Amino acid sequence: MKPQYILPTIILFLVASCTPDPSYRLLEYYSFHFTGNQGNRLLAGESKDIEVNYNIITNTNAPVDSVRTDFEVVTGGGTVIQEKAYVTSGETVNAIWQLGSDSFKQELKVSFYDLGGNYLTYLGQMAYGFRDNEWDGISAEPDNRIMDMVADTVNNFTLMISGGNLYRQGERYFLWEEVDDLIWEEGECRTIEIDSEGVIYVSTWEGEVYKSTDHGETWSECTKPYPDRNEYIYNYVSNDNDVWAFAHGYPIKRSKDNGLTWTVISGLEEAGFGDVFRLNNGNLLFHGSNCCSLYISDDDGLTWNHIPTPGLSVKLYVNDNDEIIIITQLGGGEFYLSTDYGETFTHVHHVGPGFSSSTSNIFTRWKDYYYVIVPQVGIYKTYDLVNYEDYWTNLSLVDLFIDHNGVLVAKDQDNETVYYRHNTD
Amino acid sequence: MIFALQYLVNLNHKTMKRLLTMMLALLLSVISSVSYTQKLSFGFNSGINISDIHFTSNYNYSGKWKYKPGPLQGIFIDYSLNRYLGIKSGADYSTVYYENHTYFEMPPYPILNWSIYPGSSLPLNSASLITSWFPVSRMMNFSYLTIPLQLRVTIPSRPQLSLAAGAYYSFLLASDYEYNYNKDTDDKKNDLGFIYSAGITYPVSERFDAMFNIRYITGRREIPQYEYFRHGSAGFALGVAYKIIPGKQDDSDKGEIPDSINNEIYLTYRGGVNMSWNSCNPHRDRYSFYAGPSLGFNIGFEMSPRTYFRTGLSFERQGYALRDSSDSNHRYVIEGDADYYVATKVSSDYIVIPALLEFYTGEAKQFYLNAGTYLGLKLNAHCTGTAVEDQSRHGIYELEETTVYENLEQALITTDIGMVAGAGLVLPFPGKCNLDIGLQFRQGFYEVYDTDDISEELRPGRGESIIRNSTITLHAGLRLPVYK
Repeated sequence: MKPQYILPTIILFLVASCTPDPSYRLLEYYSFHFTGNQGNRLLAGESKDIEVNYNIITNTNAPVDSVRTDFEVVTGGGTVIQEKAYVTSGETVNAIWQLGSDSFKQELKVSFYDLGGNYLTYLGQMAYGFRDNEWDGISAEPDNRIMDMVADTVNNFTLMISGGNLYRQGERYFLWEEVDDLIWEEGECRTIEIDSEGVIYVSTWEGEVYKSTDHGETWSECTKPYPDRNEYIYNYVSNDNDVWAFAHGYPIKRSKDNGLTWTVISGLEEAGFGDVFRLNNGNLLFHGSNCCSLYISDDDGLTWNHIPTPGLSVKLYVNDNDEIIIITQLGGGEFYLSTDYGETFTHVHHVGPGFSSSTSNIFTRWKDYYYVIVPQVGIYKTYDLVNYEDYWTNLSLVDLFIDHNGVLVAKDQDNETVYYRHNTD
Repeated sequence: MIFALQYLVNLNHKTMKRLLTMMLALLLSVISSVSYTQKLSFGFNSGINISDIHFTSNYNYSGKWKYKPGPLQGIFIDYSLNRYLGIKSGADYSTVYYENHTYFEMPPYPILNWSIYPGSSLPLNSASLITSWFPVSRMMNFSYLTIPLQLRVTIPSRPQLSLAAGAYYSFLLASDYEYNYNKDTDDKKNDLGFIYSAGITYPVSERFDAMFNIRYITGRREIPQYEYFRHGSAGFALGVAYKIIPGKQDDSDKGEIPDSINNEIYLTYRGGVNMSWNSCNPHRDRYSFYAGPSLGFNIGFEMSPRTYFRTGLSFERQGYALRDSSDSNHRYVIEGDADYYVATKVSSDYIVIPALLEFYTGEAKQFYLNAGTYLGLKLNAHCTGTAVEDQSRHGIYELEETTVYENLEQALITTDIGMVAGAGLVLPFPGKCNLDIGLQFRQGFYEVYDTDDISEELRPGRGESIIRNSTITLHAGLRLPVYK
């Protein structure tokens, strides 16, 4: 081989060996998205407008093909009617999704295909279809962190505290609107109570009490029950419209003038936070959060007499007929009824395995029925507080509320899910 | 040669050992039968080296280490023990440049051009809005003073062919790393390794020879800062040798004296084209052909009037092409839905040493058939091409194309042993040369894919393989006279 051929041969070989550097290149980018939010709350059977936007980016200037869209109801049993099957980049495709009633959580799927029939991607739309006479649980803000609720059946409104904020029930029982322009800091709400005159009291994590006499439209600050305490307090309104305040390490206080002044209640120092009922004979009946702390006062709370209970009592309820129900926890949750102001108690109901909380809204009344929640057991329904029927067994429940239309609202122990039940009967 | 022997003896293939022993014995028996001559020469050479980094693990399949040129200058001294054997040493200065281009990007996510130029009013489907990626490269270079020591074997011909193998020791003179934040750990100042070379020498006067030399070095020490790599380069140099002690006049210098030609040995410089494929099992039908160069020489030793033993040395680039759906860029494997549609080529560079028995027919011995075995020593292996991947997630569909460059050096085992069969014809050529045209089929005996990194349940079963080399080579060469 002649030497002059060697170098060109080597160069030729090296050039032939050249390869491009490693790299990435995006050839096509299809993007689909819904207009509007996910997780809309609707009534079962209601229709929802669906709009899908579509854009494509390619690395060539070649015309962009249309995309075929297929709408499909995945869960809930609803139906969907789509406006057209093909959509081009920059356009939208519309459909009407009518929710079914097979399930509360309902899902719609939109699949996209190129003109060759090749699957590209999908979009999923989810909505909640609230049904009558069913427990529908939703794990979404704002109501899944519900802490307290008041309902005014005269003026037809319901207020809720959830996540420290105050909400007003909207046009539908599952829609909530945050009440803003409040005179206290956001996220400070803790409890809410209402008296028979419609005066609403809100206590805060700072130990303050605010009241509204116009159905929550405006608020004014009450005198602080414990001026030197800047932590949470328990607030309670008894059936005689007196306002009660409780705090760890402080004496129980009562206001008989809508929170203007507060009076220390003596004789209940060992009772803990509690429920207070004005009996028809004018006496006051009290049970604290501590065991067996049932007391009666015949001098409007100046002095208190202890009433022995048959078991380790933790909860008190008194109906309009001065029938007294206490719940004890000894070998399970035991319900006792007294019709003689605590002289004698009759065992009326047993729940197992036990009764674990005394601070929840245990007794909720709607019309002629009581709904009684036993935390981590479930809900019972009773007409006479003597006979109880299983209403819903759910071991995760810890609290029960009712709105001004009688919609039951139950919360779970993890503050994750809130359950609604709208009864039509 | 000692190192080469050591390297080969370490192989676990008994067949290879026997083959090598036979070849070496044959070479030495031929060499020792000639008259003894002494000669001392020195000279200088200058040229370029092409970096060819080596991997010590499968740490990084991806990324491209470019073959970058660097300077190579040196002096050498050559002492001939006899007419065929000699010892070479010297000192040379070289700078090796390494440059790596990876798939890693900066920033590590795509940026649409309109987000860079938010004022753009271009339509959304404009080609100008396509994602931009910013490849990251890293570079480093090393300057070494290298002292080689090699045993040389010379085939007396015109030009004269020399083969040498040995070891080297290098002193690091300077180094530079891009993106190096830890220079204090640069404690490996030296390198050592093996050096192999082949060269042709052409006498230009009584005392001067012109030379062209090709060398290949492979370091044994890991590169500082990048412990997954070892040095490697190929060098191409032109040089001049001056004979201090010329010794007896070379027979090769006699040039035109017919009686000095050794008709019992032939030397062929040949080049050709490989058509190679993957004859694996299963999935053989998934692969297609790959075309690559073949370049080398053959030496034939007459065993009987019509029988020769043929060996030699050649550089072979072989591989296969894959154009299919696969989870891998370099081989066909699918679990569930394939990750990519790949259009890639896997190429492996081998030094191939055949051992053939060659039979001639025809009055002038112009037709030949040969068969035997070969040993392939892998130099490197790469996978290049494109891989297209479609990704679908909620509301998004993306089609991405990756320009693939994978280093497969550690994915393939070091050696390949197989069978060779070929046929050809020898035609007269002007001068003392002959034209050798032939066709050769070569197939490996066994799997060359290193399956250690594959989970046990996915490894090929008995009789199965992932990569098995097969090649047909069409070659043509010149047979040069070898002098006594």
